[in-house]
Amino acid sequence: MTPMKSFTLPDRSTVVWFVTLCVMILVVFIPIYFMFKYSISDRSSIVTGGDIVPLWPYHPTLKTFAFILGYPDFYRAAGVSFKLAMLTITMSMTLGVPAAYVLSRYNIPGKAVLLMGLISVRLFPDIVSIIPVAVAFARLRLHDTYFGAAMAHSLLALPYVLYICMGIFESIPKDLERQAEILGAGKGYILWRIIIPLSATGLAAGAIYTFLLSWDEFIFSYFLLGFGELTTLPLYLKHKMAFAPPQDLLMAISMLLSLPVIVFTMLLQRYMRSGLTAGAVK
Amino acid sequence: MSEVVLKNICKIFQEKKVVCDLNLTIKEGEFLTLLGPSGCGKTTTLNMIAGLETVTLGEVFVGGKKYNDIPARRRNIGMVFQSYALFPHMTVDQNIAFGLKIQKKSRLEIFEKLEWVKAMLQLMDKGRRYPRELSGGERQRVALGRALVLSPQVLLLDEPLSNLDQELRESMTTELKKIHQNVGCTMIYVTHNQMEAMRMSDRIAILKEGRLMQCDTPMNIFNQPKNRFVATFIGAPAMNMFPAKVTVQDGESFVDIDGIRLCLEKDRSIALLESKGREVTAGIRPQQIFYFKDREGRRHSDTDVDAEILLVEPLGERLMVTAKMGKREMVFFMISDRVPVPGERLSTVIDGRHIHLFDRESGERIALGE
Repeated sequence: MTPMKSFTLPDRSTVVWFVTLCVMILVVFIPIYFMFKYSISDRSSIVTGGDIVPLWPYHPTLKTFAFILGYPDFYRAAGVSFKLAMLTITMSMTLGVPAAYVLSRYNIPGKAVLLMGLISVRLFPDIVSIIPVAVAFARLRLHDTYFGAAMAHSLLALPYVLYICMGIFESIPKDLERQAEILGAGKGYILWRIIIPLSATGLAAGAIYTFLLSWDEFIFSYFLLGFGELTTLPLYLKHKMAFAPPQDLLMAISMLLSLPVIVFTMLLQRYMRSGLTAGAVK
Repeated sequence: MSEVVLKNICKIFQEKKVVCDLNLTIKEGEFLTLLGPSGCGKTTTLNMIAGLETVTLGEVFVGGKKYNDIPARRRNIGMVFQSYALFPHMTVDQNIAFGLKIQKKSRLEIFEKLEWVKAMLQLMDKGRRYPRELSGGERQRVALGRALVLSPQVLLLDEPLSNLDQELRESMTTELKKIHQNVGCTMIYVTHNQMEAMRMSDRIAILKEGRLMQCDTPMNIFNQPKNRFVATFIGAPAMNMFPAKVTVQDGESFVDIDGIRLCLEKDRSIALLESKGREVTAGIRPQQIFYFKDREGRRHSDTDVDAEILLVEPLGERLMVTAKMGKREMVFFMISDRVPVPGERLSTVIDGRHIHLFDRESGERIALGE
């Protein structure tokens, strides 16, 4: 502890920031906590009401999780979600990475308009953008297919992939490429031996982000897949809700759905900050 | 090792002439420095030789072969960037061997060359380190080694010392000159630091706004600057410049600065007779103005001039004095145990042998009588 002498009152802005931060943390964590609480509470708590102020889990148990995890439908949905996410990653990265490289390295006329255009998909609520997409995909017979859904998810993920990757590529000094060229390396060699290794962590972050986006995407999946055989996890959850099941079951499914999101987000944040090119220049 | 010839090189970038009609021949094994203030086109010139930038007009020859359309990676020209541009994800060994790997050299050959370069650059125990674990000087040497290991025809150095601290810079300057003598490779060095340029170069090419001002040995550039720009750019402190006039009296010519007549050497005086009345700029290096007590052995060309001291800056072995001569300010050196005070008047001697005369309009050197 610091001695009393050196203790100074934090200035006003520090206090305001601190309080705001605390409020934000509460806002973010309370729903997660409640989800967690209900998912491990005993089902009878619904009948008995549990505590008066239901802050703590009622007779904590993992029974519900065991029940869901013993259910083949859940695995099938999780499998569909996983496959779809992987396909989305493949599509958006193969399109996004080279595009981001070109956009970050060359001056193309209309670059700003292009970037605005790409992000504009996300300026509208998803429920608005899905209508034209759903109509077009139905005509092209892309509904109820992995490929179609992955394409739709890529549409959503691509702007993020582009922005993330452009940021990474721009942080790699041009001198490195020029130096490699002078040492005799061709464009492909430079891309594989210099650019990709240096941006690997960043690209991984982009891929994880894409995974999360596809993993918990609901509206596009609902319109494109909701009436067919393929059911993703969010659709599965929605489907279950239609039968008004006990809330511990819903919350447990939600918990399982959110788990990768929470874990990956924490990992991701670390990669975003690390100095990728430390020691490269100067 | 090859000769580099630049023929009427122009670089136009967004309608701005960055390099303008540059003609330069860099001899085999020569250490040539491109020197100039920032934005004078020296780095652009280097990039054109390296192939990183296209040549708008003119021709680049290396070893007698036209290089305009040969891509950078096929030129076998080494380059060290100001930023060193070390690959951060590779160790020192991998960095140095980068070019050799591309050439698909055998392991044995790579190993031998690595050892040779590392021994020369004192990097023997650093092979497994990553760039971020190296000091500035070591990074510098790795960058140098990576270029040298390929035995380039020409080695280009773009302000390689500017990121080092003063002390390291001094030692690296000497080090680089040694390496040049050792390897014997043609080197083109870019800097804005004239001390580095003077110390290392066989010849210096001075550029200003994309034009070549003068290309000569360091001594010649110092002693016979071709124009006013070179004269003031080279030498620290800068050469004193005065607007002056050529006057003639009794068959002898003088340089007249606001009524103060400076004597000249005999043959120069005679040669200038016909330039009577010509408006010129007179340049006198601080080293050619003496406190009268410091001047030993008077010459015919010496002139006594009164000066009023404005500022004294002690440099240790001597004093740097700013003084007023008539209306004009000048800087000179004094060897004195006593530090004079501002306001004091003292007598100085100007050595007329080394007065540089430049045309007032064009700034070109008036070479009469040399």
